[in-house]
Amino acid sequence: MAMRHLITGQNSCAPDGASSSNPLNAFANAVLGQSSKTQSIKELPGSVSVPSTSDFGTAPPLSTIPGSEDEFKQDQRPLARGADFIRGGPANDWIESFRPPGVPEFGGAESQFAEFDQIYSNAGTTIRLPLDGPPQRVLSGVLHSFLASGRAGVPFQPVPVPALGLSESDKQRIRDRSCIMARHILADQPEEYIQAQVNTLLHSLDIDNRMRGPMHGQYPELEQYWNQSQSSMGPASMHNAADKWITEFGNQNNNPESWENSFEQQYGPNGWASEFEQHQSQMAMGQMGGANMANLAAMEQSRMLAQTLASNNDPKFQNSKFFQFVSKMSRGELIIEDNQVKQGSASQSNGWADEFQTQYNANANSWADQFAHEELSQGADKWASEFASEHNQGTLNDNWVDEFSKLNVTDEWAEEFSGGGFGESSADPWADEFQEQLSSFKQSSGASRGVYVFSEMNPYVGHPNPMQEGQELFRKGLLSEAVLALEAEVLKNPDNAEGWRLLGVTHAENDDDQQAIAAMMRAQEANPTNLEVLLALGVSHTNELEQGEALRYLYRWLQNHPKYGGLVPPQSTDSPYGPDVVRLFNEAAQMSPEDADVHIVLGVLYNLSREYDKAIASFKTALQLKPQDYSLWNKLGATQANSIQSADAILAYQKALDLKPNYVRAWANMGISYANQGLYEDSIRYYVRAVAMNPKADNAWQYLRISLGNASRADMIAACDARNLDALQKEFPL
Amino acid sequence: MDGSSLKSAQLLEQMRLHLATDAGKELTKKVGLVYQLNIAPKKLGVDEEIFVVDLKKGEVTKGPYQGKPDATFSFTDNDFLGIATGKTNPQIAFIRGAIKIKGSISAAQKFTPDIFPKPAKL
Repeated sequence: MAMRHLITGQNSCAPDGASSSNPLNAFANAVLGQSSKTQSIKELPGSVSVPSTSDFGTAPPLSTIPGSEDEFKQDQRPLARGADFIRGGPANDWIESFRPPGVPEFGGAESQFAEFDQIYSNAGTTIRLPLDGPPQRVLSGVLHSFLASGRAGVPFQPVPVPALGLSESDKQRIRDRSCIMARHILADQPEEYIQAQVNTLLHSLDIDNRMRGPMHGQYPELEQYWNQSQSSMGPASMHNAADKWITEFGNQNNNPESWENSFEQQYGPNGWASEFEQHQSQMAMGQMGGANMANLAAMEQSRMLAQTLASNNDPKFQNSKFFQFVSKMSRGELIIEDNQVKQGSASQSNGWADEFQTQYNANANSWADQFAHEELSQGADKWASEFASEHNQGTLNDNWVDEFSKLNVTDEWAEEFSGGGFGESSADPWADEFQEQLSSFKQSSGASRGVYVFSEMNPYVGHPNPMQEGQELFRKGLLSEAVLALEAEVLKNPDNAEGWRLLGVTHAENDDDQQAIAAMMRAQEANPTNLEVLLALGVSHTNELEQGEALRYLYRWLQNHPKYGGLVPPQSTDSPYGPDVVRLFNEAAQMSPEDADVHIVLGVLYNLSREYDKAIASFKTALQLKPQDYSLWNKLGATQANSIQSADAILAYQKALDLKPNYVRAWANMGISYANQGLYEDSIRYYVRAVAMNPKADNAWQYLRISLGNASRADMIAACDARNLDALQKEFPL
Repeated sequence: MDGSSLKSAQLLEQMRLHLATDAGKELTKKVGLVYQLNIAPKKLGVDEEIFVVDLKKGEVTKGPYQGKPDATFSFTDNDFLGIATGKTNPQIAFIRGAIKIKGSISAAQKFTPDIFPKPAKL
């Protein structure tokens, strides 16, 4: 069915009361059904306090339940209005709805249609606007051209409009309706385009508020369904409604692929999960508002019961009649009326579930990826029950589902799940977090493969001498700036080993070992025998607890050393044995006890073998030879910290910081030492200092979050998650 | 922990030392549960090494627990490290299928990043 037919109601759209099978009409009915129902559109579906008044807003608000018989009758009334739709289509009706009562229609019905038709066929060409005349006409013109540009897929040209003197409520109506309308008409367009269109429109009408973002229109489909079911959910229309619903679903989603795609774009694959949950709870709530509330409540109850029952693994039980009865109840196939069991008329939620399942199965692949090896083929109910059954092996108390449904939990995990109330917001942050995790996995796996990740928007690109600039910044201790300058250098000269090396050193001091390793590996490619690079790689891999790698690089350090290379047996090995390497280095230390570097490597090697006392002794020896080496003080401190001598460690870190005040790694290590001693409040201040100096120090952010939790400062966790440095620094000054 | 090439072994060694400190003793008082960790180098369930973090006695030992631990976790080396350092959210790791849990879930829920000491960096 062409868009045009959808709107004008021609073709298969019967021009009588059955016009509700036209999805756009039904939609418009819901949106425009009563001019005073604007509020209900604005509110999220599911709110019970929908004000419902008569058509022209003259009667006092009725206290009817939405979807009740009364409201259904009200909807029957504007049959004449149904004809209106056929004439002008909802788009015109939408515009028309801004006409205040009492003001004559903009032209006759016929001209209305003609105008619409003309706009449609002229789509893309400039529409001449009647910019003079009464405000309503101007407004009408603007809205028409907005629609036209939307259909043609061209950006809406902002038009200078004389002051219309719109009241606040008018503005709100325009805003709300144009948002919804645009989303519907331009459903095949990207979200940004829709937003841009509407924002331009609102701007030219001098309506300040921007188009509501995700908070409002997060579930546009859902809003539509809600509105549709609102307008026609009377008891008499139960069957009809279900049919209609399915038809509409089919119409609107006859391209499930694109629906799925756009959804995935918006929410990622796991958006499904949250949408489903959202839908489910909203549906449940919406149905509660209906006249057959009792039935639906019973359905809800039995659904939960069915879930619990489904978690029982006994096949005998699974096949029992009682179980089947309950699951039928839960799907609304059976309803109980006057204590009699009856076959339910094709219930909405049943059809709905089926639809979802179809969609769901079509999308099974991506789910399968997400939940690798989990057998998920049925939908969230099944999913939830799998959760339950998986833990049925334990005692009953161990059932997660139980835990969550009790909601009087004290455990942090469960609290995070239930935080912010059920349904409304719990699904979303959860999904967000999931996505964040996924992306961080991707990122970290990329970095661990040694791929250097360059900063976006580097102001030093194009700098005449970024190397010199980088060295200067590094000396001044402006590490994050130095990173940018050095990145510009290695982008310019990818074979500059010294550039890569200094970049690696900077990242290490900035407490980012992944990037340090990636940079050092490039340095090593350019110059495979540079001793500093080999040592730095050994240290960074040690920090990442990668013993084998660390050992290999430190062994290579010895192999390539002009003085000690001869100590290494000629048959080279790729996986040296730790104690052998230690022995060789000890020989080297005997050869030249004045070489601080040998002692440093020995200290690192003893860290690898967790012989911390020996490591501390080696670093102390090295410090006697090189007392101004701040990184050496930090190495001593870190070793002491890891061998649980946190008090000594703090003294060593302090030395390092005296020598290099912007040494992010030492600040972060300070925090770790305080945290490991249980002094969480103190640790927070040091972590905050570290992340303030390098907001990319992910480790420090993670530790900060943990310390906030331990210090009972959950109030600041949101600031931490949002990486709000201002708030954190204000709250935790050092 | 000796002889293990797992990264987790390094952290567990630190945990062992940590449990002897005041902060560590505080932890055993607070949690008082026994966890068994089955850690696989690469693929879940393959070539697992078994460790026991006994927060009743304040010990970390290698080998299966003699008796019934409050909860048993199975994960890979990297996933365990991610959880212990706060990089990975345990719930999400569970939902991803990256953790398998046996035993009491309320005990499992107390297995959070904050019970582990953090490694300092050289």
